[in-house]
Amino acid sequence: MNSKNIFLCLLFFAVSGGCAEKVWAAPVLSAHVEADLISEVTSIQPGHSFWLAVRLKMEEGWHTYWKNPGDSGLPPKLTWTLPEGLSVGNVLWPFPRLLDEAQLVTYGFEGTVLLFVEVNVDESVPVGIPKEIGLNAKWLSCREMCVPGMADLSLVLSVENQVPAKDVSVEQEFLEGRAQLPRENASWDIKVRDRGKQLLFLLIPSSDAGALKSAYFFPERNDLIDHAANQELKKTKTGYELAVKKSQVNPGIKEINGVLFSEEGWQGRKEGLIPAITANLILTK
Amino acid sequence: MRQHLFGFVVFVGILSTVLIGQTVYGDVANGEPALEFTLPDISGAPHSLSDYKGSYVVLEWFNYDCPFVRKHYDSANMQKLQEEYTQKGVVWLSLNSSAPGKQGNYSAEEMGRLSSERGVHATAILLDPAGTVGKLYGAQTTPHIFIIDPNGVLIYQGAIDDVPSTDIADVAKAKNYVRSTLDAAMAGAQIEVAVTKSYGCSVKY
Repeated sequence: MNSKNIFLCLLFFAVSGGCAEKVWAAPVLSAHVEADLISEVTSIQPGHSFWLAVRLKMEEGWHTYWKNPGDSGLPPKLTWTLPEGLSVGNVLWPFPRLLDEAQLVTYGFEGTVLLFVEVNVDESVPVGIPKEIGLNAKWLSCREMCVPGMADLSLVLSVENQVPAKDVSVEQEFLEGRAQLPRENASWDIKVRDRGKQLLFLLIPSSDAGALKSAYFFPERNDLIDHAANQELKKTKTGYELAVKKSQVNPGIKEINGVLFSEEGWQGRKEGLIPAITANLILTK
Repeated sequence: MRQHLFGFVVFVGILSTVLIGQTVYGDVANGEPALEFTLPDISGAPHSLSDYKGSYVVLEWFNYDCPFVRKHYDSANMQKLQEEYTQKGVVWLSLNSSAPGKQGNYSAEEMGRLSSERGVHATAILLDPAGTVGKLYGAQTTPHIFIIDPNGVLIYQGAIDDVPSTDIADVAKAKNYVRSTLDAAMAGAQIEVAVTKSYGCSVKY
């Protein structure tokens, strides 16, 4: 935490009765990744939640991992230090990419990603006293080899009795980052059947869904499927079937959660491409 | 938006290259006979799996430069396990399948020196730079553990323990699957967890 920034903020507070600006520690470069904690808003309001994002900006050639990293690697781990009255929800992950790691298949990211987190602010949080949010982020950066990375990040936000204003300097970034999040399924009837060594997804489109040429299921669980196996998409009378090979581990669970990806998009290209939708299904016979 | 579409095209390109190829891994199922192999150790002497019929055998895939392997070696966790179980008659084979020029690959002499420095207590350190045995077994990560019973049957495969991380502090907190499998098998008890998803760096074939 940059103590100079805290001091300035408190000085403003003492002088003007409020910190109109958020202050944050500088981004941290560790293991070929620049990590940063950014806020969508410039101040917060009691009783209203707001969004933060953990930005991971990876050097060329280096990648980090999704919550299920696939056949090797490790997902980022976020440990929050929150003041009284603030709490965080689950991380919203962008949809992952398939990474080819010399004959292994892993799930992760290259370039820059935002991991979204919603912060809840209790009604009882007093106005006028700035709040500091701390985050310890640990991750694994890999290129040909892997290096563990770590960053201690923080953010100070003023608490005001007005609707939080958007920070225009990150507005576009948040917009683009949200486009990378998988959407709720709106146009498909999706079921998943147990076929012994395979999971068989049955995908039936409604009228506003487009045609698919290929699809891929990214499971949340690391031990559910064979990550390197081909996932074959077949056209059927009512829609499509996607065959996904189970892993050696084959845990006997019924909740099948993950992300369904298709390059053609799940709503065609009419309203803007939606390449990834969330899948939260119950396995049936 | 266009840059996202480009990303997808590249992504699908990778998808087809990776997945339409052959399956690289052997599918060695638990309960089945472990597959035979012969590899040289760091002094050049050959070791075959069949040499060890009649003993429990642990196959431990390693790469001294991988942070996950380092968690278990820097903490002396691996060396302690090796010592404890070899003293009970278990045969512990440490295998290295890093290809020449890739991380973790060393000459037999260098490997001997590095193992010595670490106080490695394995029965033998086997060199598999061609990756033949790694791919035969489907070794995906370092570490990756396979445990074979005295009848030559595979009884465990997967992670070394249940906390995938690079933090040394997690070693003590984790349930160690080498320990739990061997202790149960040697006592004639049921092995509770026989297959897990291994964690670690990718094997550098």
